[in-house]
This record gives sequence, structure tokens and C-alpha cells, in this order.
Amino acid sequence: MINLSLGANIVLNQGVINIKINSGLPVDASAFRLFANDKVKDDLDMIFYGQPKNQDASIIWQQTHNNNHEFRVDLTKLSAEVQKIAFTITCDQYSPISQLKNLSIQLDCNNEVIALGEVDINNRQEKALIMGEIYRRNTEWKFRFIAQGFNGGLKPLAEHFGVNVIDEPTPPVPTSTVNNTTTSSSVNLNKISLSKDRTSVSLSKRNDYGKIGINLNWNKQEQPTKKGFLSEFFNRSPNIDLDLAAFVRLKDQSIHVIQALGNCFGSFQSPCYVELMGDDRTGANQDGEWIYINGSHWNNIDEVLIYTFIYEGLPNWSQADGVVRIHVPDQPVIETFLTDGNNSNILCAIARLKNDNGAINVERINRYFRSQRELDYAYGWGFRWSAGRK
Amino acid sequence: MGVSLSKGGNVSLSKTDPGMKNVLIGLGWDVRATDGQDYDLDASVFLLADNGKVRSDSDFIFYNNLRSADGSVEHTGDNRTGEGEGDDESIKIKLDKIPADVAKLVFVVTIHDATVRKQSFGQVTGAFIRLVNDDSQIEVARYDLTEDASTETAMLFGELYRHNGEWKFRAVGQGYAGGLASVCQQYGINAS
Repeated sequence: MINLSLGANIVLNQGVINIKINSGLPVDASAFRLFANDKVKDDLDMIFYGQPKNQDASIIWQQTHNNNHEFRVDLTKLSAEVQKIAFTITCDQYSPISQLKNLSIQLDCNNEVIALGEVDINNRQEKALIMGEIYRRNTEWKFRFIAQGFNGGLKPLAEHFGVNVIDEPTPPVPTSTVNNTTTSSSVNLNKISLSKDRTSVSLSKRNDYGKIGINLNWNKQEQPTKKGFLSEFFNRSPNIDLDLAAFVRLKDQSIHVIQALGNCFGSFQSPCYVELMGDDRTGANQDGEWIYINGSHWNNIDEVLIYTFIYEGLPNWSQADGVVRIHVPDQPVIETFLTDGNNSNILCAIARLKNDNGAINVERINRYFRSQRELDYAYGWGFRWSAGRK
Repeated sequence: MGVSLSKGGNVSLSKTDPGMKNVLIGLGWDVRATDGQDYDLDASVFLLADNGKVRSDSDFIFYNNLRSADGSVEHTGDNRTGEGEGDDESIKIKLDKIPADVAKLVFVVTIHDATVRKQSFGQVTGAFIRLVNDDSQIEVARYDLTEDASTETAMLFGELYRHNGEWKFRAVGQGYAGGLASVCQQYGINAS
């Protein structure tokens, strides 16, 4: 094994290299695939927790235990245009790398360590660091230990690689618009939209996720704004009533339904740590409906499946124009639009939040069903259902 | 077209580029794109007599002494960041004006304050030093510092020496610990 000093380089003779980044504390790690002028072409060139693999599977990200990250790079699969792959880390928004326990980048091949670069983190003010790069040199691939970065964190780092960042630094998010001619791409760091072509987002591991909020909102229908006190007794309006609901499975394998139907509102403070806050019958409430997950108890939760269903009114999804937003503290909002549903189905499974070794893995589902029973069956939860009315 | 140089390889200037009269030593590097202290590379020349030492301190041409007394060697000035295209520092040598008692010119590249700043050539992007025929602009030799001197902080690029009435260039590519001061000491200069 070679201990690399700063700036040192080695020739890579192997086709498949595993790059391991060890930090002792949670950091975000990303690989940037770089073309001419050391810039990315588009958002497929960033490999990280939100996009663990690129289209040719030449670079694959995985998080290993103890806050470590690993990138598997298959040099033989890289296209001829690729000049470099830069491996980077970004710290928590507010702390420089000097706050980490340690920081190193290690190259493995066939389970053997071939090189190690250890960063002297003392007094280092950078919040984002280029750990090292794999690059072409004549006909060879080489690796260089760099350990240089940016005090400003992700934003200047991303810009360094030709990613035009619009918003304040949050984890890199692959929702950029691509402009190949200028080799600069634009990334909105504010919000992750889970769409059909992007179905899974993993939020990096931490111990306490705080209060995770899931919000359902939909367009209120045209109706008189002043309602008589008697209207509550005549709640047979033709307006759409969308309900937000969840299946919860705890680590002890107990399963729970959270929904207004049957008055199963759950509890935030005690098991199952998921609570539905009230019931908005009309969509008139500007804030819509909320389910809160107690992220301080995420370690007790195995899975939360979020769904919404049309309790009353015509099953017309596009008219309801619903949107579900998942808010995890300090993380970009994840949003799903409920506009492409089949109107013969009254229920839409939105997403599931799975406990993935302590991390929250958010998987978009966006599948429509005729009933809770059908949803239950599709995902194998095993509830016993009977008809109810709230 | 440059000649590919291995360490210790010799290039006879009169053979590769007959009639070369003016030589340019070019040192170039990229401005640091990351945060931290600038990379300040310096090119220097020592004019050495037969005994391998300078005749006097003025035979050391560097950022604080830009011109040899006889005018045969001229440094175009200090660049402290690498800003600018191409060569960021250059030294021009008029071969036929070099005094007869100078047997050899030694070219050295160093990083200023490398120890304090914990810097080495490999951390600098695009660092090179080259020897060019200053009349034809033909590149005779080039050394990629970033790539091939990555762990060094000071390097003897090469030397021009007299051999049978012609000037030859020998690529050396030898690293030094201790920076410019230790190189000075070797050639008989007490630097502080």
C-alpha cells in the first residue's frame, strides 16, 4: 500500500477501483464525472446518495457503515470523452472539515488497499473538499490525492465543476437543466421533485431526524366563502375531500393505520410515533392536511407508507390538483403531484419512507388503487379491513 | 516540438536546433481555484564557474535580482499567483553573451514558502517548466511539475553547459528538500 502525500499521484493498473471515503462523522460524498475543461456535462455526471449510479454504471455510490462512503469505478466502462472523476465531500452546512474526527480517501482493488491519502484536518476551514481525482494521463488512468476545497461549501464546489447553482447550499440535487453547448448546467438545490424518472432519494444517516412533516394540499373547489353554522349538519357537499393517510410498521413488526377514517389519528409522542393532525374536509384550509412522523424515534420505525384517497366527491385527480410534500428538517422538500391518476381509482400510494440502516430512504410510488385493501395487498402489509365512515 | 526528456537525458541544442542563440526558460502554472494560500512558484538561474560555484552572488538570477551583471541573463519578473496564460515567469538567456568563465547555467524551480504553506508541485494545477528557442519559439524540453515532481517543493530542472564549443542541455529533474536556500548553499551562496 502507498501512503499518498498531498498532490501525489499513482498509476492505476486495474480496471475496477473502489474508492472509500472515511470521515468518522457524517459527510455527504459525491463523485463528479468531468469532461473537457474539467466540467460536468449534465446532472447525470454527479453520483451521490440521490443518484447512486450513472447510466452506464461506470460509477456506483454506496454508503457503508460508520458514515463511510464508497464509490465503485469501472474504468473500462467510462466513455472516451471522460477526462476525470473527482471525489468530493461536503460537511454539514455549518461546520468546516476541522470538526470531523478524521478524513481519508482509500483506493481498494480486489479487496486489497492500494493507496491511502489522509487529510490533515487541523485548522482546515473548508466545508467542501475535493479529496482526489482519477484522471487520464497519456494512455493511462491515474489517481491524484488533492484534499483542496472551498470554505463556502457545496456551492463553490459545484460551480468549480461547471454546475450553475441557483440557491443556497443544500445537498446536490439532480434536477438541473442541461446546456451542453456551454457545458454548464443549472441545479436547483431547493427542492427534490420525485417524478417518474426519479423514484428514490436516500437522506443521509443521522440519529435524530426531528419532526418529519408530510403535507397534503389540494385545490379547494368553487364554493361560497361564508358558510352558515348549519352547513356542518349538511355535510354532503359535492366538493372533493382528499384524505392523507399512512401505514406504519414499527421495528417490533406491529402495523398501524393512520387515517381520519375510523379516527385512527395515531400519536406523535408514543408508538407508533406518527400522527395525523386533524382532517381538512374541503381543502379550504390553506395549509392542507399534515401527518407528522417523530424522527427522534426513527430507529423504532421500520416503514411508513404514505397514501391519499378521495373520501368524498368525484374521483377526479386532475381537478383536485393535489400535491404531497415531505419535509425532513434540514433536507430539501420532496414533492409529488397527484395529477396523473386514473379516475376509476380513489386511492393513491404516494411514497414510502423506509428505515435503511438508520437512514431514511424515500421511495416514490405514485400508484393508484381502488381501496386500502388493494393497497395493503399490493405491498403485503396484512391488515384486516372493514368498511367505515367518519 | 519538444524533446521527451527522461531524467538525466541530454539534448544538444546545436543538434536539435542548430544556431540557437536565444533561450527562454518558461515557468507556468494555474491560479489556485480552491480556497487557501496562493501557489507562488519561482524560476531561478545560477551561473556557475568550472568549480560548480557562482563567481559572486550576482550570478544568482531570481526574483530579487532580475538581471545578470553582463546582461546575458534576464528574468522578466516575479509572478506570485500564476495569473496569466502560458509562461507566468520567464528567463531569457543570450547564449553568445555569456562570459567565458561561466561553464554552466543551472535552472531551478521552487515553491515560495512551501514548508510553511505545506505545498508541493503536485498540488499546483498545470505546473510546468520548459526550455524554448526564443527565436523560433520551438520548445526544446518540457517538464510537467504537477505530474512528475508531485511531491517536491524545489527542483533542478536542468542545466545548460558548454561541450566542445557548443551548448548542451541536460535534463536533471532532481528534487531538493529545503527549498531555494539549500540550492543556494550548494552553489556557494549564503541566502537568508
